[in-house]
Amino acid sequence: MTTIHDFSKIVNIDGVKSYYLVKFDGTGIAFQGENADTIFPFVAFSGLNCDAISPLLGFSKFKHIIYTRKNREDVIAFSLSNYFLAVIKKADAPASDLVQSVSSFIQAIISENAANQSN
Amino acid sequence: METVLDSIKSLPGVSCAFYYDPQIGIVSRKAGLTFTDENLANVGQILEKFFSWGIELFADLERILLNYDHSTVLVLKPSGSPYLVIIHEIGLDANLLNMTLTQALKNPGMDFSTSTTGSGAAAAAVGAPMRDGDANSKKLEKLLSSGPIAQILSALESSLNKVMGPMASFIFSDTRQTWIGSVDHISKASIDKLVQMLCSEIGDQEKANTFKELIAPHIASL
Repeated sequence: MTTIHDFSKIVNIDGVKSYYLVKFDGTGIAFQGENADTIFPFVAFSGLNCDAISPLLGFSKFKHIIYTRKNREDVIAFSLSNYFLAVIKKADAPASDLVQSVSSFIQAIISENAANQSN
Repeated sequence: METVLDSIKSLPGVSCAFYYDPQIGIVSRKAGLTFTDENLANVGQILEKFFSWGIELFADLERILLNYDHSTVLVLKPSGSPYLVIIHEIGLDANLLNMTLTQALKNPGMDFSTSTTGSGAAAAAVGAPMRDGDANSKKLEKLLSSGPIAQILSALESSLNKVMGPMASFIFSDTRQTWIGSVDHISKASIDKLVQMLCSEIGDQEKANTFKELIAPHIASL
């Protein structure tokens, strides 16, 4: 079964400065970083609205959103069932690489969870 | 503004580009008929909330990228102009888009002044003093972006597409802007004027008649 501990391992990924795991209603589940109280609702708001925009434009699945900043510490949020997982990347890490790494990390957790449930 | 949108829209893989102002709605757009004004205005409204909340948390926010399975939505706020939203396929070369944006936005003042019409919205966007005519155009733009008039305009564009094909959206957009600059208020007479202007653009009498037949049910209620 997936636990919060599994998500906390995300900080071991190269390029992750901090992370925030939030439920769809804005409730914070786990984090490692600053300003969690203000970032939690913002991440949920972003994720929900990305889903809302999708049918307006005839798009399929929402994957992730990137907030690009001048200091290069971009905020990247991913959709994960009823949760949203946001990371702030280290300035020197390429965003595309980090997107790939975090997507794989999420996929691994989902697969592991599915395998455990079928056992 | 039109020049910037034209530069972006001409890139392979770009399906839509538009300027959005929270006070006005869609200021200018280059998009196929699959994107209705109403949907784009709703999208613009949501994205503006993203951006304004994001900049409260991260003062150095530059742009936002929403990634979907096959498409990407890019949002940025060029200095002194409305929000610029670009919708493109995943495969679009990011460097090409960035270079095009840099080049197109290098002299926004010039870009706005080259906009053939809709001077009210454009001037307001660059912070120029607003003249009476500009204020009126702005008011009209707001009126046209929602409600029954927006539906009529959408029907006009859709009907124009049926008789003119792929060029219809460009012709409609330009004609609409010229029309806005030439009317004081929205009435049956002003809509009739727009219809006449579009018929002139069609050029072919038979097609113009077909266009009038297609739009008749939509403007009958005026």
